[in-house]
Amino acid sequence: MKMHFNRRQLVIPYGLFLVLFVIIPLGFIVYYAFTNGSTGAFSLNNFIKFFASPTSLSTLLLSIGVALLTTIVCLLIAYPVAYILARSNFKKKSVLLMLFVLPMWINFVLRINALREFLDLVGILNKAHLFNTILGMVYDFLPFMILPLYTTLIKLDKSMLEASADLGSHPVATFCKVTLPLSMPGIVSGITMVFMPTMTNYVISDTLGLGHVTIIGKFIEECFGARSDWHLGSAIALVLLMIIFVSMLVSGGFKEEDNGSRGAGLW
Amino acid sequence: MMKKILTFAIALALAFYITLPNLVVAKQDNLLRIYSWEDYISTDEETGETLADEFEDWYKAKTGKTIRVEYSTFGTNEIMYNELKISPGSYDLICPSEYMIQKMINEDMLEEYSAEFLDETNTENHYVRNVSGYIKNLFESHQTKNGKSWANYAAGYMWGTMGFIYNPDKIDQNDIVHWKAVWDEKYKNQSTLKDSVRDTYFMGLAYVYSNELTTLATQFKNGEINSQQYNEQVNVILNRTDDETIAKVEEALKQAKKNVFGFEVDSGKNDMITGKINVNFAWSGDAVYAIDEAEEQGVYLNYSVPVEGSNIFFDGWVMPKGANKTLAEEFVNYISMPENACANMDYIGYTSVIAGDEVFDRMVDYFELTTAEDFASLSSAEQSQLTAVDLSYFFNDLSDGRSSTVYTDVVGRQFYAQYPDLDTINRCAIMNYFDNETNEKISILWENVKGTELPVWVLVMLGTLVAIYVGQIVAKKIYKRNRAKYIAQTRK
Repeated sequence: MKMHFNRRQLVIPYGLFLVLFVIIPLGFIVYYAFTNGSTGAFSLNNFIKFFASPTSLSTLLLSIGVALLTTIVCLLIAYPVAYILARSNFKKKSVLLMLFVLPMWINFVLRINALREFLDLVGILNKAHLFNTILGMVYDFLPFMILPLYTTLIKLDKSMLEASADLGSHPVATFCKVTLPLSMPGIVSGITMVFMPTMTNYVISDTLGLGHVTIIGKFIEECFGARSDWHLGSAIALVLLMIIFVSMLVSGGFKEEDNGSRGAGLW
Repeated sequence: MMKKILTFAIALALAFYITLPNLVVAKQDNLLRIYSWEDYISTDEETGETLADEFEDWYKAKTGKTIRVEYSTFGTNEIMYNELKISPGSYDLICPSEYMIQKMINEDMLEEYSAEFLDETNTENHYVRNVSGYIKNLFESHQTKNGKSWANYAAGYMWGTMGFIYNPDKIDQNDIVHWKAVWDEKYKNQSTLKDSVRDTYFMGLAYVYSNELTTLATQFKNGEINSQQYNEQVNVILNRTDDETIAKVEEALKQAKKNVFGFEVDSGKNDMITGKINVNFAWSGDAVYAIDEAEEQGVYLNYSVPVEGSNIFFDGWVMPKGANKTLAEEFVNYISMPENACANMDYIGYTSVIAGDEVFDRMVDYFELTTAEDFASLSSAEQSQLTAVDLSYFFNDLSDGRSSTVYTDVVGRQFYAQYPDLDTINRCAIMNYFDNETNEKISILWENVKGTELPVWVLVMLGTLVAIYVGQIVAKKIYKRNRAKYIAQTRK
């Protein structure tokens, strides 16, 4: 007997995964966010509680600030690296790239604790909590910025650059008007991969900020932990989700990159 | 087709979510499901076998029946509590801390220990026969709302105090006996707070009311109040949660935050050893561990319980509703056998609630103490070098009228952390659980203490970004309008 799978059947495993671990849990979060802790009735109280508290709001703003700065620094470091790497004729490019991605293969906790010891050695561990936190975030998330940038830049059609030069464009102008716009998809996907995790990665802020820096992820954890208020925690998680959604809309992350119908229209 | 697959996926997902808790919830006569803290039971370093595994063999040898023990661990009381709330009946025996036991008793989540288990005449009942009179009294003196006491619902496991691990080379011994050491500018960036609301709130309380506590201590010293009155008063003060107190503690902790190195729950022990910090607010069991570890590296640390008074905590075995009581009670008796209690103490560093000759002898051996009998035979010169430690409160039932006072030449180290003396015990209080309303208030306090002040650059950066975004939109609009105008003009 011959086994035949059509496209829709092949998608079942992932479809199941999606429903089980993404959609239904998200449903739980929405349910908790909009219900009252004691009665279980519909309520907007959790959101009101969050937005009415100056501390919560400043924690949120601080997290956004830390995430933004981390993203910007990552971008500033990663773009030149990815650019040089993609453009160079160096034969062992993949080895170089591997060196940048290598830290990702080493246990995260180990790396952050090593950085903690290093900062202690330098003598700034207990002096610059916010700086250390951002440093740790950049250290941890840099590969997530380099990789998408590199893959976009390496695919960039060189004839475009030649055409630009032929038409008398200065290399700087070529970069601004050709390379940069064409690498936009890489930049956007790099940003989305760095920005969001940075806002919630409280292991880094706890380890390197020594507990002096509280970001929103830590706050959510407290809600599910000692505070035992799942409803508030879910509401904050939902607020974060909305922030990401809005920032994606603003940065155009939802635009179809290639309009082919492949992969689209699952159901 | 599309719809079919979708319905299928959802049906399967629902089935998964419905059966998942049921798979876990399955009480069986020959199965004991234990839920306890990580690293909280004696484990053979080579085979990885814990006392829970050995219980299977022991039980088989005793009754001939084959049973299975499932031992899982949790990281915080709250995680355990939430899990039990979501799928009740998934465990037979749990080991929460005192405040969580209180909460669970109050919410009627626990089974009572049977009369057979509490029967002291049965020689097989290792727990009730061996538990220290101090712990027994502590449990029995705490009434529950239905007229029973903690002793009906919980069997003790480990207990300890909270205090400071400190480096005597760097810290003045006269400072460290007070809670205010953490607020002391002299020790800026040298101490830590616990990243845990209850413990740090407690410390704040002890600091805020240190005058009141000191007055009480003086009254007790002068014989104006007896030890029971003293301890009751300390318990009242260190359980205050009125609004005024919460506000004061918040203020105090905010100041402390500016002075400390940081908040931690686990890294403190190591930071003490590497010398990043010199004072670590810690649980006594962790102190034993840290002092041991440091000693191996040639660093000598001490442990102190401030004179104002401190927190006494314990973890105990409780059986949630629907538990396999027979096996659970058997296990508590097994783990309470003196040799097992000793094995656990050696492994974990915390203090077992089990007393009796065997535990006493282990302690004397382990810490190289001098018993009262041996002390009498020493010369007076030798005697003068030893300090007496009165442990009568704990070892109150030694055989043949042996004295429970021991003599040591090492003060304020592992031995003191594991077995605090009577003076320390008198000034230690149990911290009750917070009801929901209080918990919310203290959570807000914690949020405010932990919250980071918003730096100006964040506001500037966010403002700039918004301005750039708005500016871009406006620029585009103007550009389009001008272009439209230009095109219209050129057409003319």
